[in-house]
Amino acid sequence: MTLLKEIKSKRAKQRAKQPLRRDVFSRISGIVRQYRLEPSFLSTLDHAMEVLARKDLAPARVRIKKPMEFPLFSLATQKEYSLTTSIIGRVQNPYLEFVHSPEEILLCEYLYRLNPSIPPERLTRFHFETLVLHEQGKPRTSG
Amino acid sequence: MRRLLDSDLELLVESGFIYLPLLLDPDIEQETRKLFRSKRSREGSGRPGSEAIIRHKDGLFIKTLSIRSLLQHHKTLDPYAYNRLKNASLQKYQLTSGVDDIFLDETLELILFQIMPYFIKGRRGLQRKKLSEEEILDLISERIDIPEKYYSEALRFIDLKPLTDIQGDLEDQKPIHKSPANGLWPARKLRDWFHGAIQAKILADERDRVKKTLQVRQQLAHTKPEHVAIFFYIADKGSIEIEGFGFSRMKSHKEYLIYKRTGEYVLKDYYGRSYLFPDCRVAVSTYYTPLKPLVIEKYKHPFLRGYQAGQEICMGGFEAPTELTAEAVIQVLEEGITALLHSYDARRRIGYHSLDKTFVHIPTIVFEDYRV
Repeated sequence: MTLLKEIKSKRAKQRAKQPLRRDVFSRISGIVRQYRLEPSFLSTLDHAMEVLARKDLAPARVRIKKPMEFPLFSLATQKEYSLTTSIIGRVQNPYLEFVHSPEEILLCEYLYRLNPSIPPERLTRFHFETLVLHEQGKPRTSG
Repeated sequence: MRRLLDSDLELLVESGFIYLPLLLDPDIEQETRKLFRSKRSREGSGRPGSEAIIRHKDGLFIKTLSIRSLLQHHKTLDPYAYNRLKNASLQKYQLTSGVDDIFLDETLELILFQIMPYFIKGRRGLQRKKLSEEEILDLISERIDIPEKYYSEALRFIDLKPLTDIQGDLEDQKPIHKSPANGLWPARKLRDWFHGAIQAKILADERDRVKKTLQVRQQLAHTKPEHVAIFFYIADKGSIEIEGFGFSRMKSHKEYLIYKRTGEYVLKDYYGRSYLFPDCRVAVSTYYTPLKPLVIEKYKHPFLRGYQAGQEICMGGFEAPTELTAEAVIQVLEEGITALLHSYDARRRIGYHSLDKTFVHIPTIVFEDYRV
């Protein structure tokens, strides 16, 4: 590649529009607003791991995520903001970027512990309950 | 702004400004924190009320609109809401121009007190005593069923106290409305305050009208409410009719069509056959001079050119009066009615049309359907 072509392609790349990605805050804040979550949700979230570990999830049909339109950016009231940041603070794992509902927020930590390397396409498509069942159904390797 | 004031939000009023709850995202939160940190470092240097973001009872609020400015420019910002408030405010104190003007309407006075008594029979019996203005108004309120709402409006109209108070305040140059107290306000409560303030401002702007109305009302202070109610009824409906005599306001202000009904009548043609003509209103307009009689309804008659509404009656050598006086109106109405009822000459067949078919002209209007 000649220097001229290199400069041109570099400039073209610079000119290209960078898509605005929704961040975790916008996503969680969107769920908090849409489902009108209350601060009591945090205590449910705190005990979610114990409950899920004990609970025997019945094998059900494959659940696909419900389509939900998240805002590109989100402005929250102080109550919503505090709840949103608390949720983000408690569930610190990359799967939170793929949740679509409060139920998935509760399953998020458990799923991450079961398998921290699920590909993003699956996380985007399938409901976390289905993924948990799938992970639980896998034969465990010893050691 | 209207949507904000109609919401369930709690707004903060501080130093004449409306502060709204601050919406947050991580960047705004960070900036706010920085702002408060730097504010703490230069505590006491800023003047109160100049802060863009303030903390109140653990909530953050951001400065938005100046209340004074909103009041001043509400007319431009939201003309529809302003006009609604203005109308409501003027109606509350009966300050609408129609109501004021009706008591100063000379044409209406002429019709009610000079022309109407000529056409309606009172309780005079055989006496031909001239009715006083009070007696005429009594007669009207007896003959016309004035709805209760006009009566209660009249009572409010006669009550001078509210307007006297307003004028007193305006002359003392008191502040038109107290500013809202600093602190949290439910949005709807602030909206009510805002509406009150706008209405007070409207009244202040209408200072001249308040003065003029007070003068009119002081003159009417001893008038019976039933009589004032008649004027309210006329201002609203624009017309009344008693014993076939009536008037209705025209589109142009303070102009009327004064009319008298003919009732059904019979005319005879050349061969002595009878034609029954339906009732119609012969009217004279106060707007056009010289004063000429016309028929309001769609009507046909040998003395009317066509078959349509609002036609002038063919009056031959009648000299139409040029000045609007009671005598002139009475004369024109009587001449018009006489022309329709009694002036058709079956033998001479004067007028535009003939009742019976002639072989001289091709008839454009026929009266066969009226034949009895």
